[in-house]
Amino acid sequence: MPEEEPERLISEDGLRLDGRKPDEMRPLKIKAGVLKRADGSAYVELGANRIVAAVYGPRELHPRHKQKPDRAVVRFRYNMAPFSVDERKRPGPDRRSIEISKLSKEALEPAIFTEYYPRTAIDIFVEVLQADAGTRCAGITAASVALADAGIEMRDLVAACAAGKVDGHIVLDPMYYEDGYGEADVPLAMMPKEGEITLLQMDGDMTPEEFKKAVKLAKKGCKIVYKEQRRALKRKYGEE
Amino acid sequence: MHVKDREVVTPGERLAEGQVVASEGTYMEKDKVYSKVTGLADVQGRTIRVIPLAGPYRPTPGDLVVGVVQEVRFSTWLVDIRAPLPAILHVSNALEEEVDLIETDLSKYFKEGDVLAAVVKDVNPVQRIEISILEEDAPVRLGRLEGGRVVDIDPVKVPRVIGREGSMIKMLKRELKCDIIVGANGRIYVKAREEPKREREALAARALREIERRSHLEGLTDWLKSNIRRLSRW
Repeated sequence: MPEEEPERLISEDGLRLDGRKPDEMRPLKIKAGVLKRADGSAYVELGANRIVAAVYGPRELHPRHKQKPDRAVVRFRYNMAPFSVDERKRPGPDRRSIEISKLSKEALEPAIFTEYYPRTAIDIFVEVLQADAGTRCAGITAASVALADAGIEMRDLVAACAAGKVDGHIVLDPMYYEDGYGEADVPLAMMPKEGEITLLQMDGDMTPEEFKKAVKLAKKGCKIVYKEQRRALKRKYGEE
Repeated sequence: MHVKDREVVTPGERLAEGQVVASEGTYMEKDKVYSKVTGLADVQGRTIRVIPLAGPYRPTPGDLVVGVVQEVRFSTWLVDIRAPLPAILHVSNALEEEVDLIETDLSKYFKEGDVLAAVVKDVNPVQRIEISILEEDAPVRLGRLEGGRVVDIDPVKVPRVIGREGSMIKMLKRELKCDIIVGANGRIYVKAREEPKREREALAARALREIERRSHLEGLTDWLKSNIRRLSRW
């Protein structure tokens, strides 16, 4: 974050600090199967975000009383590396990362056929190596690819993307400064096949019209993410 | 049909609609067929299925598996067959003789760490997996496997280890002079019939890893054969 707030986040000709148009996403790169020890994994770069996701399981869940007799238990851990932000982040779970873990889990669970794996656990780990705003969305995107890479049966991939309000404009995929100095942030995750939304939050101030516009824009972003997720999985097996 | 035969598909990808038979690896929603795994589409006439390219071993009744005893209980052994949950081997599926369970400790028969060849007998809806070593028509002798070594590979690569009509596995057995039991769970037991045994088994393990790594290559059997011949001059 710069010491002082930038005078304006959107220039006169409607471009953002990094030269993007309001409805433009940052460069996105996804790679499936990057870790050897995990059952499934993925690496995501979105702008300056660097995120690794690993999936283990389905495997036997201990302690036994936590098992569900009719389905798998999905566990999600979102974690930020101490070096992922400007100021050193105190390692370990905090209020924010516990919240993100919970809602990321809830964003992914509807996509998984958990009923196929009774009494087991599916463990998802998301490590943020470098944060550049929108890490919860990039984390869900990565986790979903890692699940598919692990061969876990799913209804659809879950794609996630945020929209925000910056200098009164609704923009797609806010970056670090826009997130820090902007007026609002709307992260959204969905299963693009049926358009089902599995995560929707809003932080900041917006009118209902602006909110609708932001949701529409974030959905558009999810479609782009979804395409890239599929390509990453196919690329692993030599197609494209 | 929206996909070609042998095309890589991802979860949620639309495969077909209308009059089709949707088989394993797929699911239907409003008469459209979607993939539920990352895998290869296999289109045969009006039937479509997806062969997974990754994933856990999913036990099916009738599978021959190689397992490792994980725990000895009062009347059962828990056997790790690399499924999400351990398999249950009950005494009635393991021993022909009658046993007084109160008096006997079952580790007298099989103890922790023992390697077993078994057949999956039943998988119930809550994934209680029952295995047996008393199946009459099993392709190999079931029960404890002694000596030799065990190699784990990705379960989805098992068909490649067997090869078309068993061509790969037959070649390995012949060239390496080893007995090989390939579990459907991707666990493979290798035991050399001739000296030098350890070297033969080590080479077999290496060959199996190569198959796993190069499973997509054509002419793999011949390539391996020449390499095995070259490396097995002891």
